[in-house]
Amino acid sequence: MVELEKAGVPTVVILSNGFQHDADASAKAFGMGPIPRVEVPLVYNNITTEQAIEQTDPVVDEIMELLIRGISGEEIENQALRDAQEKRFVFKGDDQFGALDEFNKEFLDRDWGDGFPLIPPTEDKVERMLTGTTLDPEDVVCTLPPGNGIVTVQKIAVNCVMAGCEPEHLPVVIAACRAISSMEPFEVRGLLMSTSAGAPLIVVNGPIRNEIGLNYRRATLGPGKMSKVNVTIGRAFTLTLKNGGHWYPGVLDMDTIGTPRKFSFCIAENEEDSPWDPFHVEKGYRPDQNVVSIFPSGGEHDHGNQGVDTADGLLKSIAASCGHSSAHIANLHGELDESPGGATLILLAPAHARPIAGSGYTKSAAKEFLHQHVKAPASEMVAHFNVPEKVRYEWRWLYDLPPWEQERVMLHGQHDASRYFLVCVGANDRAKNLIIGSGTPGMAEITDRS
Amino acid sequence: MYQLEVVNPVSPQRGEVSAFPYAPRPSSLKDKVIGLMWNGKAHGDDALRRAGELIKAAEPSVDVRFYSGALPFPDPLRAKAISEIDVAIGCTAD
Repeated sequence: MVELEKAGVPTVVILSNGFQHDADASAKAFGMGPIPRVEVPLVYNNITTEQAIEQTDPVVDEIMELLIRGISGEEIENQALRDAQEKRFVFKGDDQFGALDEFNKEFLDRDWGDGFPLIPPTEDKVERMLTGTTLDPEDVVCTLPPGNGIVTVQKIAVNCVMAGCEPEHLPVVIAACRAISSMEPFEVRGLLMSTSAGAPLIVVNGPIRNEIGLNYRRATLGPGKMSKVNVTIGRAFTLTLKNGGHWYPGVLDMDTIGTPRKFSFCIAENEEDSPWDPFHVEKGYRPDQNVVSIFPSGGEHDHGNQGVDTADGLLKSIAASCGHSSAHIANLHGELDESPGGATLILLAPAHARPIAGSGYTKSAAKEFLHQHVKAPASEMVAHFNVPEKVRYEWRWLYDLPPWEQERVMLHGQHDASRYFLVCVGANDRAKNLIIGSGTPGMAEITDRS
Repeated sequence: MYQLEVVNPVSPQRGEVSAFPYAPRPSSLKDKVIGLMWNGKAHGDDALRRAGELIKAAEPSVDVRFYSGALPFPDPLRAKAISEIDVAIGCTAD
């Protein structure tokens, strides 16, 4: 609607209650003032056709009026946007602990944190953080989604300080920002703005993993000493997405339930124990390049098995846990969209990767095996996605089948084998894997390190 | 008394740096072409079609056209709508 208004077409949006901040912040992200809108009480997706009509009727006169009159242009309350113009904040206390408490209270009240206490980004600490890169502090790194924040090196450094990072971590967070801003709009908006529990996963490849102490073996996604670097980099990225990309819950992040993956979600690939090329090499980078990949994540599922010791058995066991999505039969991103939709990321432990590779499976052969073995009846796809008008043309016949035949017709869980991503991670002994509903990752090289 | 000075962590949004003006409004809807812009979310189409129906009843001279889009709206379909319509109505749905 913003693009229409920009092109000279007056617009009005029918807005469900609860999405007001989302609509205004989205408009601001794309260079527009408050959205001309009428408001209805219920979210259309949750109600029947009859209820949809019933709640639309009372607002039609207002729609007609707004199409002619427009809005007055008064500023919408948005504390975060106004405060972006202030450069410094001062907090006072009886002693340094009192001032620190006041700082944390105020910053957390403004939703500039993640709920945990923050490190105060004093000028000195920010200056020290900036020594981690050769970039100029005022260099614009990217326009950061979802709110299209104009993010400078200095702003990322401020958020890295608040998260507890060291200067050598800063280039990783800068690359993470570049990587997520390179993602397709539908992918990144679905990840960050959806009512689903999406969270970005940082995967780091290259020599930098060892140079800065990223954990890629036991409990790489867990808390504590072993994963301190992972935790702080992941936290810094979350804070940067919030304060740089305006990824504030209830404003542009409309997640229904939420997920702890949003606090910090950062791993490195266990390249040393993997039998295959690491992920960044598979995507065309050199082994000696340092690369951040940002994977969409929609949840995680622990996969384990007992008594399975053949390659085929392991792959079948993993396939049985992969599940499926209806993303590849839907065309919610438009009739002309040819992107495959949906993906499965498998964080594969070395103790499973090695016997699979040892039996002759290349990484691509393992993915093909998974693709051939992850299947679900059409009835499940139809049950999950019941908007027949928005199904890709080649799959619409599924919706005309009688129920017994929908049970019989088996569909692949993803569009093709390339929609399975294998990243080797974790401890080197007994193997358990994590399976994550995903999408197409964004990637960026880590550069400009001091 | 101890004083702690910290740096602002918030970046400005693109719209704060350069905002464009709203489209000029027509003086009435008489003879106007109204675009109903559906983003594909369930029951948003019901709301838009109903709004179009009631507007047509109130102002019979309007031409109401439905565009079955997506989120984000596909560029070619949006360009087509821009070339065909005078005003537009959208719906969040979720």
